[in-house]
Amino acid sequence: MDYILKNTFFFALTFSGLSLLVQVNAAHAYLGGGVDSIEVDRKTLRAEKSPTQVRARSQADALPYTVTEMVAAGVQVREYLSKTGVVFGIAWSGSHHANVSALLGEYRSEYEKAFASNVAQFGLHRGFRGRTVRSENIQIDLGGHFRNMSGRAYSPALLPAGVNVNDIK
Amino acid sequence: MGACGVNDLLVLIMVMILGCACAKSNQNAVVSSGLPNGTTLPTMIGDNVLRLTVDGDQCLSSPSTAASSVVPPNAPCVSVTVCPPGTSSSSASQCQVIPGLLVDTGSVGLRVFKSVMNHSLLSQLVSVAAPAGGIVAECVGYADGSADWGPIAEATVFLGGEPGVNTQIQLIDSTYGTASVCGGNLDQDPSHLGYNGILGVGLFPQDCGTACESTNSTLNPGMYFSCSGTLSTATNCNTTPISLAASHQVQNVIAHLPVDPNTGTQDNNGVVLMLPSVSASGAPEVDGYLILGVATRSNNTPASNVVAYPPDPSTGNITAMLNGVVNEAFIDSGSSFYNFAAGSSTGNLADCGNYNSAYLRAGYYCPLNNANAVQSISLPISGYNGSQTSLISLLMGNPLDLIGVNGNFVFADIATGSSLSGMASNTVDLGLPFYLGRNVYHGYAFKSSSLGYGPYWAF
Repeated sequence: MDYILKNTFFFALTFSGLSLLVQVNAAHAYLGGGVDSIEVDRKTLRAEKSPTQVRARSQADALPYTVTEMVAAGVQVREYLSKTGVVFGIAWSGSHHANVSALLGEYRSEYEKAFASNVAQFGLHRGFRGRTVRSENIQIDLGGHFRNMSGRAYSPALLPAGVNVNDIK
Repeated sequence: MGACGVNDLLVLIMVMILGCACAKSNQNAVVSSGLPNGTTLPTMIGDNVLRLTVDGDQCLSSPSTAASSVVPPNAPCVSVTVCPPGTSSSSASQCQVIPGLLVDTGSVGLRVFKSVMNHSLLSQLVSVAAPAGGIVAECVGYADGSADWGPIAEATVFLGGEPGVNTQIQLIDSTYGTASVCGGNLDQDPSHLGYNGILGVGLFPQDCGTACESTNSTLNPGMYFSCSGTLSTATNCNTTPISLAASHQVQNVIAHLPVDPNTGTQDNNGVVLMLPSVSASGAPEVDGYLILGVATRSNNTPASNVVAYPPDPSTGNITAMLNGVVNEAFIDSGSSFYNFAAGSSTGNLADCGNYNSAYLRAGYYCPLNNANAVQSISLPISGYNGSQTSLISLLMGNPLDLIGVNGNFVFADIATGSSLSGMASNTVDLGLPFYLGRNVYHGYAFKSSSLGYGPYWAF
């Protein structure tokens, strides 16, 4: 429970002007969570963590985020942390999809409801080798085939200025 | 074949990009691939032949434009016979013919909704013992985020007139035991999915393979679980995945076909999908064949101009060039559409949501100039070894003007894409439309034929 208090305190101090939503999400970690939530995800997924990587589009280009990569169940999971300390996106690639629901934290039920309505609306179910699910707060892109799948989850509202969604990959 | 003299700008560009000229070696020869099959196929006969209908009488039901219809366009279906393990004849009374199975070259293994099996068959199927106690269940995730959950059963499966295959299949049951270990997006029943099950006939012998044998949780994909109970019901399933020997996993039934005693042939090295052409406006349904084995009999021996394209062993992908950009590519009968998840490089195709906002999230692709409603696309396809490139020409129509019109549900000219644009890699999915009008040979991993050593696709 330590990380919950710490995160909430951190956000309350540093970003007192931010919406309540961010503070709540930080307390619950995962997508929308703070830097400590990455470690929570690692434990949830029983993953091994790679050294934190900072990917610059060019040498001179300082990125407004850091990427932490971990490997769980044969899937590489990359968490995108903004300079303000919020996980705004998660991408994965591997033989199958990452455990998306586990990575979404409190967005899980929102995602699963949106997924069900997406299926109901478009019917075309197994016929699609991919799917985009949008809900109120997040978007999930899924694609690939047996033994080679990839996807990403992100919150459009949390994207730092200057970051393109296609950077989350 | 061997079109080294072709003076075509596109070919030149391709050769430059692939970095190897014809004159230098026999590498990177380019073949133009048209559609060899007419609108009607010759009648194919043999123990290794299964009728394959696309949205036809082998499917669970006909698709319709009704909102309640779940059967997609371009659904290829067959029937198989499932029997208790050790059954020697498909006509035995305890066997059951299961129609309405989706033929999926993008997955591996037979999965049937438990709810469509009659009680006497179900009671005679045998569970698979988990190494540390309990019985084995599986969570199989698909690319679209859905999953199949349910126990693994030993059964004997009969395909066409072939001898039975003793193998493991999955019984799909979204209510089995602790189903939540498989997430919240489970296939629930045939009326939800549009099929009675899936016959995965992809390039590999098991659905997981050695990765699921690993005891290292960072390497094991975690598809298999142990449950306490029977095939019918389970009280509890362990939320930690198990490691499971490949021989106990769900198998590619065809890869385990024994010798056919009627002919002395063994058709376990791959499959051929044989489907006719359809016109640009589509067809209500088409009839074709799923033929077992590659070059094992006269009915599955390829023409001399058929070329094998092996995938990259690490990704399972070949490549397809679209608008000058090299994309990862795969061939998959279980995809209803071509899918061009190619970011900005699709050029002259655009999200149909631009024309009809109802389709914004469906990912349908329309010709950029919607009024024309037909867009030609040139698609050079190369294998992993880059030995040869096939230049495929496609015509793409407007799915919104095609699907369901005049009762048509089978099309060679429909695409999706935007829903996946911006994904980690640019990927082209050559779905069922690619199969219409050409025989596609699927060579299995660890097996060989006159087309080479698998895995490969050939056309």
